[in-house]
Amino acid sequence: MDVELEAASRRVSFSQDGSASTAGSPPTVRLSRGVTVRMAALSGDATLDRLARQAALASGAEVAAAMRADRPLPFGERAAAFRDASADALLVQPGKGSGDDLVDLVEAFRAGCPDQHPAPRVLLMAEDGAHGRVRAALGEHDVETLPDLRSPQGHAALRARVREMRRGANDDVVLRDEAIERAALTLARERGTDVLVLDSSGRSTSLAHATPGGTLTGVHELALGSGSGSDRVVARAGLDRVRRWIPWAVDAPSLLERVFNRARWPDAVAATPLALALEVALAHEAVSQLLAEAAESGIAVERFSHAPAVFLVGHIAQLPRPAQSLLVAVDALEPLAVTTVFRERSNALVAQAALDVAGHGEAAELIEQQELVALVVPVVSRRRASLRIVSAWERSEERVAPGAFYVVPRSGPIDVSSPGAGVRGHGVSGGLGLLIDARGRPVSLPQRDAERIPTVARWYAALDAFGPA
Amino acid sequence: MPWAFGTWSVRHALPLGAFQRAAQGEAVYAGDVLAKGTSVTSTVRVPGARRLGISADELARIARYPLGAEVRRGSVLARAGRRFARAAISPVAGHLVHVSREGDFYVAPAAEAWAVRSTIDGIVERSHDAAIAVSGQCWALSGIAAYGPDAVGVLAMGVDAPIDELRPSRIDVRSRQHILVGGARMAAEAITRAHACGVAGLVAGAAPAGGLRVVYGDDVRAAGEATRDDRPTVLCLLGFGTAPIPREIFVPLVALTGSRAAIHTASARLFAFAPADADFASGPHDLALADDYSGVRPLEGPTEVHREERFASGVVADALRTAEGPIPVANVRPSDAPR
Repeated sequence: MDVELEAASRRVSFSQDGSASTAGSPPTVRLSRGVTVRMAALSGDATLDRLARQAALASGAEVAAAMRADRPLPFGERAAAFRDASADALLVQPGKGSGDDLVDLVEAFRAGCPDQHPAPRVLLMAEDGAHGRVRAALGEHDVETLPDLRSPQGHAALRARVREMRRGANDDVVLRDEAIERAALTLARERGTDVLVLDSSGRSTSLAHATPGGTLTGVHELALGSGSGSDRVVARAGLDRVRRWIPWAVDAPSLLERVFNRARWPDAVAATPLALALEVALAHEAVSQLLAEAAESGIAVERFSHAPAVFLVGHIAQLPRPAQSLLVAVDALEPLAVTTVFRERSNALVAQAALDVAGHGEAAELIEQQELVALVVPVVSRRRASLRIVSAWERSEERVAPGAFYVVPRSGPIDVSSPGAGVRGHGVSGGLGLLIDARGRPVSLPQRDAERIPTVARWYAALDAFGPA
Repeated sequence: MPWAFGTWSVRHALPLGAFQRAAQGEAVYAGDVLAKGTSVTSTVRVPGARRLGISADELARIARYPLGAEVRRGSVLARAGRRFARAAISPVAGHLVHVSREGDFYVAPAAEAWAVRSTIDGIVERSHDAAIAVSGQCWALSGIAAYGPDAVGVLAMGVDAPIDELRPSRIDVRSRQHILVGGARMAAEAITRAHACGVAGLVAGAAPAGGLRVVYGDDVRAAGEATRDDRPTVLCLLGFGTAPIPREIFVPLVALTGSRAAIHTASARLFAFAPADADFASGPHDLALADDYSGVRPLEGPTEVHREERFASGVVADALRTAEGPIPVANVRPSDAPR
């Protein structure tokens, strides 16, 4: 199998015993992000607009323009926005009422994109036979009717349609986000608990939450990442939000230069600690942005913070030290439950899930291939809390002060409880041990560099994230 | 990114509201107007087919103005009936910008005028409402990002050596209508001064990203940004921060001084109009990204591949050993590699 990176690909082969290697026979499956699908969403009202954004996040489409019929804007502005968007797909969602406003919106689209080549695919999310005026306004386009996006069938149909467009004419392609979702479902079934898979790479960021019962929530942003998607992270989040996670003094203009050079240099390798810290900070903000977008579109992302197991894949899992991967996960996801964090360095998890999607085998026993990183114990309390830690060999008690962030060296299965702080959970401690995080939620950072840098440096030092190699 | 002579097809995107366009097959020179129009913001919707009591399909037959035409206040856009005639009349002066499927007219009052000019000598390949493509032969140099509107001018040197920074003091009104070649870096001060002095565009190895933010706004991206408004035009050839221009690129730029040239920002290319038999063509050369991503430089001198080198960051990767130290293989690319 060929696993697409930013510009290059890496070959992963599986032997009979299930072990993965990077050499082998020509690939039968290609794991790719697919082509970018830019979507223009024309929605009748705010609710439908939010549903369109949810569907875009679930399917990996990029919302290039989103217009609401009930929000008055000059015709020229709307038409210009559609022209600039150069959309591959036009999503039309009629709301209630006569549809006059939506017809105006469709006309603005026609005025903005009269001769677009190739013509965008028009997806009308409405029951057959309804909304004749809207359909008539779309006259010259081939209109494909899908179920209403308010129904689960509509959501699933749109997701499938967009993914089909992303695959293009390549039958051997498995989309990376599909594989991430399949991995999450398989891991949740194997473990019998909720699972969150976090995939953060140079060009894309994905989160897939699955329950043992097979309920899946996936959000995928194919333009945000710590590499070629890094300038978008900065454009959306702002440079200061990236800079705040770097534990050294670095001035904003020179940091921006580094971000821009990284964005135009796919698959670059961070050779210095500063470059690596920048990639860690970018990955952090990419995940935070994805979570913020998902929350804004109405997706229940709170469940992500309660997943008892988090699996890190992609570039974030390939950072030199497990502590660096762990910091991104803990700072971006801000777990609210006792969480076991794993990471997968060889791409085998995603590759195996992709084979499963392609029908070339089952993604079984995926857990064994993972590197156990740490057990994260969030202690959210305004007062000093007493935390009881029970392992097979030892029983101890920690006095945890608010703001504390440190590692207790333990390994193996562990039970933790703190009745006063509302902590109770079980997990497996990894190579780094037990991470006690009492920084509060949401994690806040001082504004001034003179206070922020020592704080962040202290957190990095607690995990020895950038110590001597 | 090396210099190459060839046939290039250049797409010029048009804003809304074009009322005059070059026809397919027309010969144009760089700098010639390809299309003219006025910006469209608010529009007036004039009921057409419904008011006239005809179908939308019939309206096309009796409409008196084509799309894009200028209309006056009171102009009859369409008229139906004989004894009891009914008419669709424009209530404002402006341009007819759209006719809806239901047969209504959209008239945009005259606003700011715009013109799109060709960035290449050639023949109009395709011409439609959203874009005009012109195909022609010339020398071209691809950069990694360009910002601002397209620019046409005469190529001139703003530095003496490829490692020099373009100094604001080298720029004055004598450089008006010129495309100035900077060296390794052009700071925001040089960019804004050049714009104020009427310089058509700037080309350099790199521009500081922070400076680009000052000039083009906080949402500026590494991929570049083609705009239509009155702003400086900047072409970054290699990267951001500091990037000395390789000799293979700089020497032809010197030789081309005085030639007509154009910057097409959407494709981040510099076109230079010089004879095809000029000896500018160069093979790809290697570029190296700085270890901390702060700049790009040409890679020169002997190198040796070393497997699995451990870098200061702790990353283990294949490396090229150079006189300045090891560089990750992934951070070295031929100049013609896609980016």
